[in-house]
Amino acid sequence: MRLTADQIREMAPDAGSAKAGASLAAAKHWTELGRDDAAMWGLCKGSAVYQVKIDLSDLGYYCSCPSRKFPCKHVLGILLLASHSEETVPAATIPSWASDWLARRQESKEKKAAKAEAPKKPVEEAAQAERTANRMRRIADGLDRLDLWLDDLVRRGVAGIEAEGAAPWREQSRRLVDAQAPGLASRVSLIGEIPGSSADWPNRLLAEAGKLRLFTDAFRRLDRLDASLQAELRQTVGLIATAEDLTRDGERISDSWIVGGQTVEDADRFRTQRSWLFGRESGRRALMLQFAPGQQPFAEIVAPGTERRGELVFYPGAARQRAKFISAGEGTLEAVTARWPGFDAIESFLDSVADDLARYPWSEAFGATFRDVTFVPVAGAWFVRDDAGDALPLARVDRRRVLARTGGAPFDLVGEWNGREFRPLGFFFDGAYRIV
Amino acid sequence: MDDLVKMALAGTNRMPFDAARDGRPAVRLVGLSRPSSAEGDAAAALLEACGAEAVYRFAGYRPARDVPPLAPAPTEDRAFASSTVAAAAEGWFSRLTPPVILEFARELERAGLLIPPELLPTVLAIEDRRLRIALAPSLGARGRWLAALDGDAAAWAAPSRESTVLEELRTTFERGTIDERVAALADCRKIDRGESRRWLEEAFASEKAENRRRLLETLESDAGPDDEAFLETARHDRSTQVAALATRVLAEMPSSKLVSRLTKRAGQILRGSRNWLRKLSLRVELPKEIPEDWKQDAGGEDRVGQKSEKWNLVLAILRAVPLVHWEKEFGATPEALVGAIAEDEDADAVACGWTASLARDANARRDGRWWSALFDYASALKGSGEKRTVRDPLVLRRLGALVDETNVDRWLSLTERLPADARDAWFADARSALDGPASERIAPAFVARIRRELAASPTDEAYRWASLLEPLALALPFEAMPAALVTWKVPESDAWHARRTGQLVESFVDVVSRRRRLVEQIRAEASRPS
Repeated sequence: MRLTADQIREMAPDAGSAKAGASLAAAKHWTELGRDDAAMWGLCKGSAVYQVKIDLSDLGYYCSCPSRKFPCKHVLGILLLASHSEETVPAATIPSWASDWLARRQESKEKKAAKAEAPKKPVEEAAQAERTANRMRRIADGLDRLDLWLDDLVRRGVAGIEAEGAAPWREQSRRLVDAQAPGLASRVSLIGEIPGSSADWPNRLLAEAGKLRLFTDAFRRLDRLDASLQAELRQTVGLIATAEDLTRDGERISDSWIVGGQTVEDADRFRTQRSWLFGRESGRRALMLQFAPGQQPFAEIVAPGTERRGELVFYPGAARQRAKFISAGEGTLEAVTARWPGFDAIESFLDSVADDLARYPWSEAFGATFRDVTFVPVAGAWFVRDDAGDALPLARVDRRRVLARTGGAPFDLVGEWNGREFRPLGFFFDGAYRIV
Repeated sequence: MDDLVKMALAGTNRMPFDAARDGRPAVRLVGLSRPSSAEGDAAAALLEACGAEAVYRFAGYRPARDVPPLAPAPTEDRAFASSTVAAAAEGWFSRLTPPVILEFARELERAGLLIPPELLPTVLAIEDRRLRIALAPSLGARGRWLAALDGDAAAWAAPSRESTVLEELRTTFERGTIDERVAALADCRKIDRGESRRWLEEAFASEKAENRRRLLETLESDAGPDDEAFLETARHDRSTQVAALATRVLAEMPSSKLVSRLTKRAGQILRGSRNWLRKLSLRVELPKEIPEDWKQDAGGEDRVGQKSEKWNLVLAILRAVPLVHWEKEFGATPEALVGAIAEDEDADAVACGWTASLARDANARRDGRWWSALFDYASALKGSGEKRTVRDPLVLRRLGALVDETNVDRWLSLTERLPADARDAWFADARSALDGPASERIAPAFVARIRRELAASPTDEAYRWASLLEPLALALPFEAMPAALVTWKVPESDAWHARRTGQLVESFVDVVSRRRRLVEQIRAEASRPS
């Protein structure tokens, strides 16, 4: 598989690493460069000679350098070098220092898979029930305190709270973390960024705070709701579905899954990677989430514009959005080279959003692929327009990259809709996928 | 603003809220679950109403209808350069390296290729007008279409649309910052000299002194007879800096009245005589009382502070006179003329004046005889031991700025006999020369010299030469690249200087190789059948 330079830059932990990687993307820095169907490798001369190895089946990597950035500049460098052309990293016989690593990796994958299949130790049900009850009590207390605070805020009036900044919201977020509701805590933390951030901040703030208030009410009535809604609310609050939950209740769909677009958000020294996947045959969309503290790497490399055949399991719940591969690194990665299903009409997409919101009103955003759309300016703002002339407002992104490539001709677009604006993440034009 | 939001901003303590009485379906729904309007519940109900209304709007979002399509970019009549070219050029654009960007623009235009689409957003973000002018011919219909979408079309318009460009420049000149105004005036001058002078004349009186000087500088490089009247007015400006600049610009205009006055005075102050062997000697003779108009005419801004009034007067007068005048006047070669003044107490002022004249006179520079004669004069050593120094460092520095392919070898060999202080200045001048207009022509000689120095010495001397590799990597013309990329022999030592020298060489080879690949790729695509 050959990734584009854009795709590789997306993998970099920060701009500095991307730049440093680019400076190593020249053959002169490398010896024993080579690749075969399974791997790519090379020795990079820095202050010492570093071994760089990449497993092409899932872009797993190893570099012997001491960097705490993942992937490091050496991994990015060899990938960028390989992106120039087929010849820059020539086909060769894998040396033992790379094949040993590859074999160990394969072995570890197999062990993990076997462990996943193996029967779990029986849990002490009474103790677990007590633990769960305790946690639910703490969460309920945490939600009560949040409600009191929110109600008090609206009683006094939210005018002027922008002067206080995000601090009060962060404090509430910390309390929710203490109450073991981390999912809700990060929502509250994000709401704290809204006051004063735009002219319409009061509308946005009250919409989000209002949904939060509805959520706490719904959570209090958890046992009166249907099972899928219960599962989704639990996950939103931060009660992670267990492997058993996934095995028992998760919907499994086997398909060729395309990573259409990706965002990475930094909040409170914690990074969240959101990748929108689309099934080539099923047309199903899925949201794959990965979390990492600070500059630590995400567990799996998920590169936009790649495609992998495998089985996704959807987390049980009403939203039917979040999913993960049954086994990490399943299937072989390929670059996307052909169009995939999507909405021809914006109207149809919005109908599907309405259906999804009816099932779970707290969904924040929806991934979408549109076929044959264009960007158009309307009264100083930019919109994505379908063939019928319907259009959605675009988020502020570098639309010039898309327009320069397409010259105004229709293209396929991947992005995320949050009810206010469509955020383009990638597009497919002229036989190639590109990141926006 | 929405009623719900207004209430929430004011607070339910001031504006009571009852969801059940609201007309909106989503809010009424909240009213069903919270019928009471008790104080505590009112705030919760209002919040939930805001949430329900947000979900309702999200789910019921209707797109904008009947949005007209965007007219696509016109079809191109030339091919785009490939994505390989884009990838090779991208780094130069992201680090904004003007010499390579100019080279890229030149090569693309020569190859008849257009800027690759993926590079257009980066290119269009460039604000340097010199680069914009160079890149504009290869922008193509796609690039201009893209620029027009952001209202940036005028700045990138084809030359046929000069009036639009002028309008845009006029707006910038009237409303921009001083830097933007100076750039706009200079660009306007490239299109219509008369128009740019009119703008200058209109604005001049109301500008502050520093701005007047900055704006006047736009005339510096190409002032002509049509500018003389304006410059004569500016010579009497209330700011001495502005007046001095105008005087200097006029002094560099061979046909100006100022130059003819100065030429006449030059004949009066530089007297020649021959001895019985017919050997020429020259001397400076100034009137006992310097007339006021002489002083005023000599008021150029390049007066040298630490020199005397007399020295500056001689410099100002001689610099305005073409050098060929002296060859005719005294029937002597440059070498003989320089030799004839060498013994006079004002010889340095004369040499400096002649060097300034040489800088202005392209024909004399190409001839090379004056450069050589002045170089021999200025670089002659005087004194002994540690006190040994060159005869005239000021003239030598000025000659350094005039180095070209005809004299670069002599200039390079000067380093072999320069005392330490003068060598520091020489290396600084060399760096400037490699950034200067003759950089491409002198670069190959530098490569050969530095290669020799590195092979010969592992000391800090080698490092000193290697430090010139950085500007040299950008100055080197394409034709000289293969020779520059032949394997370098670098000092083998663990000393810091040697290691750093190795790094500089590596970086030089990298930069030159990348420039070479870019040019070769463009040329290969130009010769590829379409």
